[in-house]
Amino acid sequence: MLLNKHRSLLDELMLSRIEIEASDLETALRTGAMSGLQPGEMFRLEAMVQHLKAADPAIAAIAVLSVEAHTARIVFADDPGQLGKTLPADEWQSTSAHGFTRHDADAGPQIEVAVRDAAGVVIGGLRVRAAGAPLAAASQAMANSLWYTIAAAVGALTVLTLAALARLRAAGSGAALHRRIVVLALSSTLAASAFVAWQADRLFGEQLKPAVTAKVQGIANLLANKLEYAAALEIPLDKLPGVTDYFAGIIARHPEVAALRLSDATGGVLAEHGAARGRWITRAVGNAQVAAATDERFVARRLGELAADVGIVLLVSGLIFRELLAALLHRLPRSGGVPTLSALQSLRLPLFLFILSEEMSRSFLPLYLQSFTSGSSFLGQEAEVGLPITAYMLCFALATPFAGRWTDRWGIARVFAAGVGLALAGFAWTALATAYWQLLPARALCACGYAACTIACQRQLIALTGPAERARGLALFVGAVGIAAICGSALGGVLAEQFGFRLVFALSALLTLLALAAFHSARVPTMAPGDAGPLLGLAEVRRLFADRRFTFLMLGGAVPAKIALAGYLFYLTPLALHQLAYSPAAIGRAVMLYFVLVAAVNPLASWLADHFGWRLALTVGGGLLIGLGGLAGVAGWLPGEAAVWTGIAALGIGTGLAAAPMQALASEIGARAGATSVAVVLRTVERLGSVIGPLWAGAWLISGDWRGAMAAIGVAVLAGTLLCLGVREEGAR
Amino acid sequence: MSRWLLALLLHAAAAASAEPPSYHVMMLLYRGCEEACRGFQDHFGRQQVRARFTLRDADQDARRIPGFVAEARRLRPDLVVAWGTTVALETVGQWDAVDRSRHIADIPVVFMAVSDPLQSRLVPTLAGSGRNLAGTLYLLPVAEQLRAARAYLDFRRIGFLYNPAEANSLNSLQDLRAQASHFGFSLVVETLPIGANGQPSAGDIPGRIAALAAAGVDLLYFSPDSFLNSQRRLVTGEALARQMPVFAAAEAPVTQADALLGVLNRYDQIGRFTARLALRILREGAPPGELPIELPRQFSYLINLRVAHRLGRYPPLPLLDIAEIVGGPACTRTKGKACD
Repeated sequence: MLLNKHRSLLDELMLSRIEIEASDLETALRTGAMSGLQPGEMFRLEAMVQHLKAADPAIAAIAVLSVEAHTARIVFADDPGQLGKTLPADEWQSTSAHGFTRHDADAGPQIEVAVRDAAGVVIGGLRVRAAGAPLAAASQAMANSLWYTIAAAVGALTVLTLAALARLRAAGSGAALHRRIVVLALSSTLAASAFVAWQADRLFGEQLKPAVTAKVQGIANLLANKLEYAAALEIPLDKLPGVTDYFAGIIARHPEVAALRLSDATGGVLAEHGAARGRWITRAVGNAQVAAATDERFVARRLGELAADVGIVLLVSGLIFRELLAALLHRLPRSGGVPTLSALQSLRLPLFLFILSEEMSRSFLPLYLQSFTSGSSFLGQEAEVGLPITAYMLCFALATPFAGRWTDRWGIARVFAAGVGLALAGFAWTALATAYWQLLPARALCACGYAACTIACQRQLIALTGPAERARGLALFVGAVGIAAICGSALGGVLAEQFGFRLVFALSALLTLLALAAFHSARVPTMAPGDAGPLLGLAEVRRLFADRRFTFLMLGGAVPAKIALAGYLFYLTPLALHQLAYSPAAIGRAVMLYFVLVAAVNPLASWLADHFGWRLALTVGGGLLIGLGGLAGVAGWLPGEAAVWTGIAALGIGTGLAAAPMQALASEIGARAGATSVAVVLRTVERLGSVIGPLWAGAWLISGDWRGAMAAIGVAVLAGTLLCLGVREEGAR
Repeated sequence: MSRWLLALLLHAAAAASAEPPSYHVMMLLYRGCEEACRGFQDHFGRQQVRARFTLRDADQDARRIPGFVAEARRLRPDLVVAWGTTVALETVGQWDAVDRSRHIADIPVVFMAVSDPLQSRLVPTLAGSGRNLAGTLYLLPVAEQLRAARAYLDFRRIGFLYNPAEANSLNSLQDLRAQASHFGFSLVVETLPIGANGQPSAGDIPGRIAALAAAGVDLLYFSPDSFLNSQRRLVTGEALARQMPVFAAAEAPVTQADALLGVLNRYDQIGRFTARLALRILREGAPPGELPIELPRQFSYLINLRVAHRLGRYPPLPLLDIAEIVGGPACTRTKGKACD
């Protein structure tokens, strides 16, 4: 992954540099064509070709072609041996005449542009080929360095591990040993990976800086050429208007440049734009001088992004590794240990893997959906993006009660397998989708699979535990789900950026298969289903909602929270961040923040609820926070980025604060109404919120921008929170 | 019998496919085969279309045109090209007043270099003529010209020499008036008096320009007017002497006189663009009456650098990328001369 990014960044820098240098040539070709000249008649180009070749060692070949009827003939080239050669003209008919297109030919990357005359007919073209060899060599060198580093790290790792194992074996056995092994394995692997990453960062920086400098040099050359042209026309440079604006345009288009300056023979500044942060690269223009300054922050930013990506991958790998290791260790024969717990632990891995597969596409799903929309249907683009998400939530909501019944009829293992099958089909279809309409049933399949598998795991948990251990088991589960969500959203973003969206879906499909394998190999005693306990009857549900407090809590606490989650985090955030030019990996990190915050705040909220009984207070407080976070969208003084992050943070902390207390409160109220298990009702109501969320957000997005939609969600949550206040607890606590 | 017929058909087919058809194109011109005429023919050459061109030049004498039209009706070429409004009107007449004894009604006719086909009633709408006539526009809308001029220099007061003897001039005046508030300028108009011969007199020009200068005009708009064009050296010279930049809507005042800049379609481009239209009619059999009358997609930004030096008003750097420099020192794009 590092190598991929390294290569693509260097490629990009080199090609954009060459495009800049060749733009002069392209301009001359174009204006000549507009004057009615054939490329072969534009004698000025001959010198320009030689000039360009000499200016940049990365340029391997330049060819100016004249297109007549069906043949393209080389009329100017850096290599005289190329003159007169003919090529098929067909490819030039479809080449763009507006800016360079990039192309990876066998001989190396190249850029080309066609040129048309006043009648719109293609009369010629320009092709510049870059030397592929130096780039490949740089990549290879980088790869070699990395391999050496990895080898060194692995070697050290092995030695350390062996030594530590020997010492541990002497120390003891049992659960303590397990823990120590896990800690040892994790820390050593992480250390080794971190070392490799650090080395890569250093080497990468070494290669990146000269590439950036070269590009800025190219810009300086271009400017010098233009100013030389003006000077050749005998325009005095101090009387030339529009230079500052021109500088501003270049800086806006090329972030690698921080500042540009034109100064005269005495050093007086004639025109300047930008603030110099790095070194100045100068080019003389007659008596005057043009200078360009590199933006040091550019390199730092790129390296920072890379470090963040690598960090995410390390973190996620660490977490996944831990899960795998834990699952593995539970197979080892050992003395003691609670069989139930062991079985539960075994269940954790399949659940983790499955949830991971689902969460991987969370952070970029709206973007993937957007690529299928054309905005031409009567629904409008926003609704088209929201519909598959809504379909997913809807299917999930509908399938859940049925899934429970299926486990009763066919057993948990079969339902899990069926769920994996459905999800697998859904992911595969999503990955291979060719048209928009296919995404709706595909997501529905995934939702059904998700419902089936999670219910199956839930039933298994209930079957394995008595009421006493159930809470602990639930905590285990919630933990696995939480970590899977954190890993999934971040990892999905990074992988999507490197390898594309479809691959991530394919990977999800693979993960579901692994989840199935883990489920089967887990030593889970197949209990007779039917231990699930009595299903909630309709009468009970009616009784529950007859209690106004319960209704208020559901409408005011449960539903709005999920509206915010599905509408804001899953639907709006990727779209908004994409508009703010965030890469998929960066979006993944942002979505991950929510899950991290929930996981971090949840224990605190539980502790507060247990110790001080602040259940309603936390529910209301959390809701308030989420609502206010949504309103941040319309805070005009907050830049877009900050608003989105504020919303995510508020949502995360608010949800972390409110989720557990609200559930406890619901249970309490429900118990008073005589219901035994409100969890099902709560979940179903929440699903309702998830369905509404994207629709609500989408409706506001149609008429406005994402800020408005964000605020609309905030308002909905605040309204719900107000409703919650009607749930006063009876009696003092 | 059928065998004989078959053989004949095969023969005809073979003959037809043996070599591509050669078209007979008759060009009725007003001031010789200038750049548009040459560009038109050159496009045929580039497309490797075999064609025979018959040229008839009125040499600025409208009385010769009916004779050419009659000849065309006799020779029956595949296509007739009419250069300019006068020639076009003589060839096909106004769209609602066709005289079948004088005008060509059954051979495809293509017009070019007509400043306003609607105003001159050649066509009822630019969407299509509805008869055997197609053509191209060449004058850019005034709004586009003004926008392009603003890219070079700012102006608050535009001066205009109005020639009542030409419909062109009135159109330009009305267009400029319509754009005045949007572009934030005021229009100062000086009218050229019409003499006994129905034409203005060159001697009146310097006085009018002096009046414009006195009124504080910072840009003179040189409209596509035949009389003014014939006096382009005088007009632009007087303006330059008073440090007044001239914006031209046609080519010659910039390339052959002292106008500072012009944003227009060069005649060569017009010729090529019209030739493309002509080929659609000839090769694809497109019905002329259904073809829309359009402008070429790109236009030229001409800057006379010699005048820029004289005025001390230089084009901004971004314009140098797209402008065609005429009258510059040593740097020309003509054949045989290299730049740099």
